[in-house]
Amino acid sequence: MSGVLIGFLFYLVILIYIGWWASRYTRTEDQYFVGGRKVRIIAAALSDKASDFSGWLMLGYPGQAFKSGLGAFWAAIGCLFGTLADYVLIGPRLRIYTGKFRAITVPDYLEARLKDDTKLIRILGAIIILVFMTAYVSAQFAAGGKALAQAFNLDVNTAILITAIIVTAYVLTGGFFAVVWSDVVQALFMVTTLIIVPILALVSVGGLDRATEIMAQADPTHLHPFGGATGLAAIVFAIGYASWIVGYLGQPHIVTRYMSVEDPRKLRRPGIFISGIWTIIVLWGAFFAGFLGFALAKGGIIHVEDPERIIPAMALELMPSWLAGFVIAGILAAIMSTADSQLLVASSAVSRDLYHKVLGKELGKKQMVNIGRLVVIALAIVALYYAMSGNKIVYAMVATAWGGLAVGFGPILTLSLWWKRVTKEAGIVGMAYGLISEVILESSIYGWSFNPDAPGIFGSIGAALNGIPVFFVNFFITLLVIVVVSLLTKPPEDVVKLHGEIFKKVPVSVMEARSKSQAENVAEFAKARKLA
Amino acid sequence: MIYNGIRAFCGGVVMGLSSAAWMTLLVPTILGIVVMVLYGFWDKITGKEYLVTDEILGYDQELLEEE
Repeated sequence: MSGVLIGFLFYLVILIYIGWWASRYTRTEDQYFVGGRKVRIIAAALSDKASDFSGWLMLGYPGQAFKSGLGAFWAAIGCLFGTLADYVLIGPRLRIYTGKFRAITVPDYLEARLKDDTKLIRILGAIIILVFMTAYVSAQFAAGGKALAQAFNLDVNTAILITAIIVTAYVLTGGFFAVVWSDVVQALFMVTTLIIVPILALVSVGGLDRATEIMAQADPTHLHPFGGATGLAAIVFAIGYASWIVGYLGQPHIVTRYMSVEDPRKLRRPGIFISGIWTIIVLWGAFFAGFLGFALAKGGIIHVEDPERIIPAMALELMPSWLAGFVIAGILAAIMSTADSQLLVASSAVSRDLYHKVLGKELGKKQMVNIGRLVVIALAIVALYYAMSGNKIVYAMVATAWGGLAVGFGPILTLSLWWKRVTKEAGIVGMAYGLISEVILESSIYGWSFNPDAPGIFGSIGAALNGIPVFFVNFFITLLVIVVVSLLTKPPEDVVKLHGEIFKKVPVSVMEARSKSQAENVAEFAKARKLA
Repeated sequence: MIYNGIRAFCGGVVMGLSSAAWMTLLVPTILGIVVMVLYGFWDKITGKEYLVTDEILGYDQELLEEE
């Protein structure tokens, strides 16, 4: 117990130091929300992944691998290709546009890109962020509560309160710089944890042969790639898990990292390599932790009541206490690195998008940052309430919030970066449809996935699409709505022209020459003329 | 791991996992690495890159002054 506490306190000291250091660089909205667009690529890429992978990675996903076995690996496939899709489809182009527009939030960018003078896109964007991001933060608080409760034998609600206080405190101090650099430390904690835990599990259970033998006896479907399903049912099973992929295109707390990076070209190289390799390691680690955890539990080596607590349970039962403290810190790192980014994005939706831009209230730079901080406190209190009063199933809570953001932002963000014809009318209709349909379909009709139990015609649709996540289908419907409305309306000519010009590609040699300093160019010229 | 995957691909069960199970684990991971390498070096492959100017970089002025 004392070793666990020491590991955890060590981690907190690092966070406090980063918060103090970053607070010196946080005086303007630009700095508070996107780090002045000058964040180093290694920090932006690791922060991107640390913000993306949350309590879901350390608790929710291993819990699914524990319950469903090999079939749950489809979720890892979806997340890996979602990460890559973000770099290929979103990252560099979004950084180019947002640099040009000086945009610091996603609604900022959409309003400028679609030339929306009605402010409806900004309002809709802010509402989507507020509704789903608050739900997402409450999922992180719930996950933190589970980990701390398991580690320190606390009441879950007390542990949730402690998590909320720690996360809120360091978002308040440092803003984006604090969040990004603490994310880097947290990304390293996470990857180390997810290398150590499955290796230890493999050794404890007696190797993969022994683990699969135990699983085959307990439940043979655990070793089947589609959970025992065949034919169409197998495809639905795989889509159900891999559907996370489309969600990546619309997560504001992730894409804001691309907006902050020092140079869009660095997202291509080394950005995609840093994120991609890190993602492969943690997804394999989290999957095998849950997969092997099932064998450990069935083999009587460890005891766990809630599958989502399999990693903390393995750490506490199989490791020396100082190492268990390190693992618990790794779990909290995953939770906090996501919750802090989400709080910051949700805060920007109120202070920047609604208060500053929609209501037109502009105070001094410092006051705007302070309003952002007040909003962080208010949102944390709401999220805390939901975390304490909700069902606390992390996988489902994250999936619902992820789906809402995916449908609300994914289609319009992707189309606005790749299609010059997209119009503000299409953006408004698409985002309004995404927001309303997701709230109604997920909260009152189906829940997270289609099922035949829904009333009336929704039951028939649910039967036909049984098991497929609602947001996955709704993403493509929203995409279609935006395309149709865009074709029925016309974008301003200057918007179309800018879209063509801004993504103009030039020979690499031209860019290399531009990147060289003036002195280097003079030296090269002199050398060519044999002056030197 | 990859050796096991190849053995499993050739038929049979390796370490309790079928060939289909090994393929599920390895094929998407390898494909992901291929996508990473292709995109990461796309500028070298095509010889072209986005035109990035100071206006596009848009650094925060106060931050630049401090540096």
